[in-house]
Amino acid sequence: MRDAQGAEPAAIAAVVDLGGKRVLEVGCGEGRLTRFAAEHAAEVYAFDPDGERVRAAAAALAPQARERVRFAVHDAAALDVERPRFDLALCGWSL
Amino acid sequence: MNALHHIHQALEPAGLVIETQPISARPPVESRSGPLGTLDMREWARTIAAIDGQIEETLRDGHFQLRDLRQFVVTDEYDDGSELVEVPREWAGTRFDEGFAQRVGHERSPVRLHQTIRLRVLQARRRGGPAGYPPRWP
Repeated sequence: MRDAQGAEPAAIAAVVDLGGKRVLEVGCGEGRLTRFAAEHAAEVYAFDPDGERVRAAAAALAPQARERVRFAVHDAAALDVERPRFDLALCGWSL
Repeated sequence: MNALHHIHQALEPAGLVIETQPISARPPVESRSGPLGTLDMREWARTIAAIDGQIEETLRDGHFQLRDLRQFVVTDEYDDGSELVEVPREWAGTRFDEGFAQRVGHERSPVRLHQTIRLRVLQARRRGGPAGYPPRWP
């Protein structure tokens, strides 16, 4: 089990409060941090260039958390940047 | 243009980036009976050095300010040694010494991998903004 003790979410929570934030999750992969973000943030936009991994991330979320997350398959260069709309970007092992 | 430039454009003024990366070149592996050795992630460490260069570029050009920097340890638990050999083999920049792989692969009890993770908090700056921008954080 990856990070069974939840050290990474705890470290992130120690430096920032995700409550009410609009979160951009860069390179969400299979959702290692997506659940943590969905449980605390107002909304999450999670993307990754690997569609299979994005589907796995979506499937791993509970229905209630799933409602706050929008998933997409693309890389950072394809971000819609018509206007700034995120309070925080979460880049977990993904830059 | 690196990924952080795209992220900067998507962030509100003074928005934050939370960036984590595993930085251990030789993360240790252990079982209940004691240390089993280390993964060889030196190639990955070189990749991290390249990423660091991109981040430093965005700091130099004024897109972001470094607000916090800290480290912690993430422990991954595997049911047995063979699972540990199977999963990290797929990781970029990670190699197994054959002797180590055989030794770990024969381990029937749960094994743990400890990786040091670096966490950085960057805060977006508005280029050409007034002195003192962005406001003090947190």
